[in-house]
Amino acid sequence: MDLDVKTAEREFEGKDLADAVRAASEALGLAPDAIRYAVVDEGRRGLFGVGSRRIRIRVQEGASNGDETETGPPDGADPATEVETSIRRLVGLMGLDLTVRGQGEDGSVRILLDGPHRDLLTQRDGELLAALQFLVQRMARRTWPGAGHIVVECEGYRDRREEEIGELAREVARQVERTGRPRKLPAMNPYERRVVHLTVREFPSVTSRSSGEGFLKQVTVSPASRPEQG
Amino acid sequence: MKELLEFIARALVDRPDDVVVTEIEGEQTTVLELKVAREDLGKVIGKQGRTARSIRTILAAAGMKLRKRVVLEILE
Repeated sequence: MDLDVKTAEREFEGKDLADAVRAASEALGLAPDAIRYAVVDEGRRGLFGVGSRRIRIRVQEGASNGDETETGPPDGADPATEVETSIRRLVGLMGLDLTVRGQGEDGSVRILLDGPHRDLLTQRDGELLAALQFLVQRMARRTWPGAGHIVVECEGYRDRREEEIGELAREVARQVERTGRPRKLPAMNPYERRVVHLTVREFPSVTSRSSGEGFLKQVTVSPASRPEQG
Repeated sequence: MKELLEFIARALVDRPDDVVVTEIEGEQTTVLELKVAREDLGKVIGKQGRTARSIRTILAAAGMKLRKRVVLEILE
């Protein structure tokens, strides 16, 4: 039998990540900060305790009680892991059933959310997704200075949203072409407005322009360079 | 809900130990009062109130699961 003590792994459970880490730290006699773990099962909260599953983590025993035994991922993507852990905690505290996947690339961190509650993230024009991204960026400034730019995304949401907005812009452009009357679109963020402007360019007889103050502005689509009629 | 707001607020401010959250639970509405150090007030409100708005959005989403309206009040 080939048993390598250094990399022996043990699994721990808890009602949430912090709880599981606490269990591991108690069992191994280590500070919670010193625990290196991988999440085996994200667990789920369930509704009113029905169908809930405890979270399971796998801890490498002996990994961190020596001096400086490197056990992190080979690329040492520390900020990404830390951001990921914090978002997982945030999502857990919100009581949402979502999986969190982090990818670090060139100092920036990309977080992908998915799961049963993903619709909550994308409804009302992705308000919650945007709020999460904004807050996490704010938190990162203080807590993980090494983290760089952080993007919080929901699989495929951006693409779908882009398609939706393109379709809306096309429809409105056609209408303006037909009626000759300007139309105002709902308030959008800079990225979304860009999609509108690019789409409207496909229609030579109409033009688009943003108006308003602040982050969200409205785009007006109007007939192009006709003599003003009031 | 209280724990969620504490977690967010502590990560935003310079003086996490001064963060105090009080939860007042009503039948349909939960009021969360957030107190931070004076110099940290701007950090939880943000430019044009954007940070505060994001926090409210997140609290509202968390409240929706509990079928509760959540009101965030930032105390001076």
